[in-house]
Amino acid sequence: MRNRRNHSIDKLVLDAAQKDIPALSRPFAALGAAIGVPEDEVLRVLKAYKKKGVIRRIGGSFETRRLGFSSTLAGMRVKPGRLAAVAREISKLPGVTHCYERAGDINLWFTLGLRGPMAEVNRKLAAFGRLPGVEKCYSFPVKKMFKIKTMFPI
Amino acid sequence: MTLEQSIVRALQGDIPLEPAPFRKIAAVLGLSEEKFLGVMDKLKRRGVLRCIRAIVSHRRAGYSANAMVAWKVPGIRALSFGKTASASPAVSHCYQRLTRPGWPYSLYTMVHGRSRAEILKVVAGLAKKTGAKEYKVLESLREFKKTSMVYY
Repeated sequence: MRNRRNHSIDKLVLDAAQKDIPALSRPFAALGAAIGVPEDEVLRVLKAYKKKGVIRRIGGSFETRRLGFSSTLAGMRVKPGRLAAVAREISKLPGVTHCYERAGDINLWFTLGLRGPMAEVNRKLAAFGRLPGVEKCYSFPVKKMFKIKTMFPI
Repeated sequence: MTLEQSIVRALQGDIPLEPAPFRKIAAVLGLSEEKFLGVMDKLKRRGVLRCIRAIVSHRRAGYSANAMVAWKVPGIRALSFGKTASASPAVSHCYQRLTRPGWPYSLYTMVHGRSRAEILKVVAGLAKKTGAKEYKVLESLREFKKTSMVYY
């Protein structure tokens, strides 16, 4: 019973912390007050999830465009024998935050964000497109973002 | 570096898990807590800072499989598709993106689950609910990089 209660408190705290940690002097007290959990309990739960690696980071989530950045999702078709080398080369750039090999005709997908106009992103992408083994290179910039959902441990 | 830039830099990493984290960060920057909170508030109102939040690692949370699913959805149905897909607990992100010649897929969902079978079940459910029949399940085979953006 006690375990179940703890588990539901953990979920409640993780849910609230993934949505918004208030920008106040005592953010964790304020977050806890909204869900009926004391500040020290909120901190205990978050520290435990952080230690387990379930929480990757607790910090600011920024609107990249408002910081003067342009970004896109790029999809490439790369010859299988060259895929890892191309992926590693692309991943060296700090503006590439996600890079995955995926099943399908377009087999390498990555996000690319740079300070400046979209032309900068396109120029960098064109350079990546000239790496040996790259057969196709597409840019799929965002038209509309729907709500980013929170996730729970299973 | 401007004051705002140094505050963005301080918040792009981790805030300390203690009762008054912003007081501590402010002190490192030589600012009062009030000043720091004031700039944060301004950044929020201008839409630069969406929020302070916990970012969960899907893998560590038990979701060992993930797929990006690209859906072919006509423009007029994009909003209703986005709303339906976002309501699914297995979907972490949903975006509408530009299409390209040879690539008519406009809606993208990141779907997480314990296994490939679980993901395919979620996808089949979404297809049924939204009526979108043409889609590609782009399973991740290898992760080369996954980090948060560094702005300054």
